[in-house]
Amino acid sequence: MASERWSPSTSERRWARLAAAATAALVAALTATACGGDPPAGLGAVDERNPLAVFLGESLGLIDYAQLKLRNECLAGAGYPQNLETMMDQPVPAFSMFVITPRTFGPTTEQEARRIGFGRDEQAEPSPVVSSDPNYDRAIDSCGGKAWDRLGDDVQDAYYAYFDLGNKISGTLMTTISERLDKSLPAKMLACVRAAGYDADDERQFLKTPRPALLGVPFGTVDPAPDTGWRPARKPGTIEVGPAIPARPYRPTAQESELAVAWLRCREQTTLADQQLTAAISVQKELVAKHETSFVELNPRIRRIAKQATELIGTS
Amino acid sequence: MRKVKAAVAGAVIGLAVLLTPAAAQAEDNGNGNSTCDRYEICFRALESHTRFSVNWNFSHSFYYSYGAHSLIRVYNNDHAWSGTLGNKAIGFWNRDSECRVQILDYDTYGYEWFYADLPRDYRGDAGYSMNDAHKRCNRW
Repeated sequence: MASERWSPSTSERRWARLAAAATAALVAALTATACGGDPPAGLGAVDERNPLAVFLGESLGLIDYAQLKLRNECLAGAGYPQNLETMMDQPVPAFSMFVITPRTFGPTTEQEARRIGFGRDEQAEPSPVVSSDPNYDRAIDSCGGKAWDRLGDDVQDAYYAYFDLGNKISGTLMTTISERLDKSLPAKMLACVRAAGYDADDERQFLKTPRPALLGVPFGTVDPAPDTGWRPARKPGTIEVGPAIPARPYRPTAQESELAVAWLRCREQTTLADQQLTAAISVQKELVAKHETSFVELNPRIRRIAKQATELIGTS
Repeated sequence: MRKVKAAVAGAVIGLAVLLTPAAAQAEDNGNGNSTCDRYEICFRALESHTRFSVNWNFSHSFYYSYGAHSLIRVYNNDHAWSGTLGNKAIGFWNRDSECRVQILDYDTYGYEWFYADLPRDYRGDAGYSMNDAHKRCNRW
């Protein structure tokens, strides 16, 4: 799980206390809404560090991957091996950022802040496969349907319904967290970065959206990908495979690294970091309660389909 | 020690620096057609304008991830008006051959966050108001 990405620290212990309090409230809220005071059937135990762990993102990613692999194996059997040869070699968990940790809001150590600045390393992308062959188009549709059928009845409905549920949550989660923060924080952050030797070129804009990009410091870039501007020739009857994109590191400028350290210190000094975590757990709790009916209905179906997916493709 | 930094860029410029995409993605507009065709990732934008009621069909399509929709220029149907795609997309169609697509943007404090995860073959008009970037097969 993504919660293993960070190491124990003062902020972790502080966060654990916040999480424990919020989880107690969550359990109480869910219990109160269930008939007769019993916990709602099917929802299962709540992760004390992250209420949205009830969202089965790994299972959803596994189902997605299994359908893709089964489809691509079918395509290969029909004489079109391109997709199977270029697809990712493991599932991609869905909505993995629901697992909120201190790292969700930025680097948590000065060492990490220096290394990554305000950027992110880019992950590898598989090749796009583009057909100009109507026979292939018919085969991919047919194989896609067969892949869903092998996973069980009404699988597609549950799959898309669960993505809808995830998107309802992800569409509001971070904006709601931001709305809950103390309204004096932008001014506090500005005062803090000024004390560290920085200033906003547009104070009004910074107080509205206090982003480090407004502090007049040049930012770095991700290393460019080796292939550029690929576009299929679209010759009728052909299937074209675009170049895969390798993983590439983000390289901050020296000034950005320095600012990232100051920014981290200011996030801690102004209590922004603490407030973000507190709000995150609180908002997650509310969202789980708001969508409880969907979780109770869909989680058992997703678990069942994921089990079938594991049996079919051998991925656990 | 660091001295006070001179203001060298406005807010828009500052964000553009942060959001500059990799060169590999600069020319990506799918197969170049204005329709949303198989195997493309497509975005539909809507914008009211004093002279035009612009409801672009699928305004821009991609084959790869792209880190800054604010750099994508889109046009209305008769090319009489144009603007940036930015985070104006109100419709999405993920026809990618292999990947789910995450929709991303920055939170209030400038850290990147995802606002939607679109499965393959998903088409919808959900209004994820924060949608200035997208990533294929992303693991976070």
